[in-house]
Amino acid sequence: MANEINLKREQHKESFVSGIIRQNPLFISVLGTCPALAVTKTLEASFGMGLLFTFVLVCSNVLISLLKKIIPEVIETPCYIVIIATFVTITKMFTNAFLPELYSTLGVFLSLLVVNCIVLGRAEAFANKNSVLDSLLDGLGNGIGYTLAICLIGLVREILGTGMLSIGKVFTFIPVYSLPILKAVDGSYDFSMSFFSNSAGGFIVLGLVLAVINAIEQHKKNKAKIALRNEMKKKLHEDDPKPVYQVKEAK
Amino acid sequence: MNDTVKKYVRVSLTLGLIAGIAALLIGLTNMVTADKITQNAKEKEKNGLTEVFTAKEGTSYTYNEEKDIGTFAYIQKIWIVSDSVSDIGLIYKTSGKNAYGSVTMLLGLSGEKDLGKMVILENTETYGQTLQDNYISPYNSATDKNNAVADVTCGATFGAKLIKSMADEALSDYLVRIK
Repeated sequence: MANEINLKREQHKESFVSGIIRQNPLFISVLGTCPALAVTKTLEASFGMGLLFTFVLVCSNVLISLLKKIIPEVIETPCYIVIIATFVTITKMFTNAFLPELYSTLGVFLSLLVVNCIVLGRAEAFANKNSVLDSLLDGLGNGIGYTLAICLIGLVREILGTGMLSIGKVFTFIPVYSLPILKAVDGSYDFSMSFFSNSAGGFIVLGLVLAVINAIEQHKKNKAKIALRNEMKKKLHEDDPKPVYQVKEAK
Repeated sequence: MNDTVKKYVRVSLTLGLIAGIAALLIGLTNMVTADKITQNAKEKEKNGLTEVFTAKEGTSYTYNEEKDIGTFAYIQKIWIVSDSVSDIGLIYKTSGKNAYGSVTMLLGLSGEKDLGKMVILENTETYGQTLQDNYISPYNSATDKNNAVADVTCGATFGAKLIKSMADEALSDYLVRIK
C-alpha cells in the first residue's frame, strides 16, 4: 500500500517536473517556436504569453482528461481542437477585458494558440491516457517550462534590442520602471542593437540559446562517457590484473 | 439498432456535449467580460481622439460626432474638432479588412488637406506590429505628414495598402466637405 502511494507520488512528480527542464517543450522538443519568435520582443510580453499559454494548456488538459472515456477515437482530434479553441476564446475575452495592453501586444498570436502544437500534443500524448491530476500537473509543468523558455529569449532580446529592461508597459497595473543596461540614461553611450527586436533577431537568439543548451548537454554526455570508460577500465584491471612477468637470463 | 447507427449516435452525442460545454463556458465568460470590453473600446477611442490633434498647453478641443454621415466602404464615424474659437479639422474613424485581418484607425484631416496623426484602435493582422513599427510610427513622427505618406505608399505590406485605401476615402470625403 505504502509502495503504491509512493509510486503514485513519484508519477505525479514526474508529470510535473519533466516538462520544466528535461522535456522542455521549446528547448528540448523545439515545439511552439512561432509565438516564441513573435512575441518575445520584451520580457513582459513573453511572461504574459507564458501565463496565458499555461492557463490554456492546464484547462484543456484537465477537460480532455475528464472526457477521455466518452470521446470516440474517430473524433478525438476535432474534439480536442474544439476544447482548446474554447479555452483560447475565454482567455482572449478575459485578456481583452482586464489586460487590454497585453491583448494588443500579443495580437493574433493569442488566437493562434488554438493550433499550437504543444497544447494539441500534450492532449494527444498525455491527457487522453492519464488521470485528471496527472494531466493538470503535466499542463502546469509544460506551461512553466515554456514560460521560462520564452522569458529567457524575451530577456535576451529586450536587453540586446533596446538596451534596457522595462516593466509596467504591458501589465499596466504595475508602475512603469525602466532599467538601463546597455545604454546610458543621459545618452552618453548606447550599445543596443535594434536588430534583435526584429524577427531575424528572434531567430538568432533562439538559435544561440539552443546551441548553448546543446553544448551543455553534449558536455554532460561526454563527461558521463569518459567516467564510464574509466570505470570499465578500472573494473577490467581488477578482474584481470596484469600478469607478472619473470625475467630469466638468456643462456 | 445496428452497430453503425450506434456509432453515429455516440459520435453525435459526444460532439453535442462538447459543443454544449464550450457554449456554456464562452457564454459565462461573455457575461462577465462584455461590458468591460465595450468600456475599454470606448476609452481607447476617446484617448485616440485626443492623440490625433494635440491641443496646445492649457487648451482643450471638443469633439462633436456627426450624425447621418452616409454610407462608405471604410468610414464609420466622423468628429468635428474645434477649440473655443473655431473648427480645427475632422477626425475619421475608419475600419477595413484584408486577407490578413482587420484594421480600425482614427485619422485627422485639417486645413486645405493636411493629414493629422493616425491612431490604430484595433489591428488583428498577422503582421500587426510590423505595420505599427514600419508605417504608423514613422508617419506619426514625421513633421510633414503629406510627404510622409508619399514616402511609404509603396505597397510594401498589405496593411499599408489597406491604410492607404482608408486614408484615401477619408481624404475624398474631407475635400467634398470643405468645398
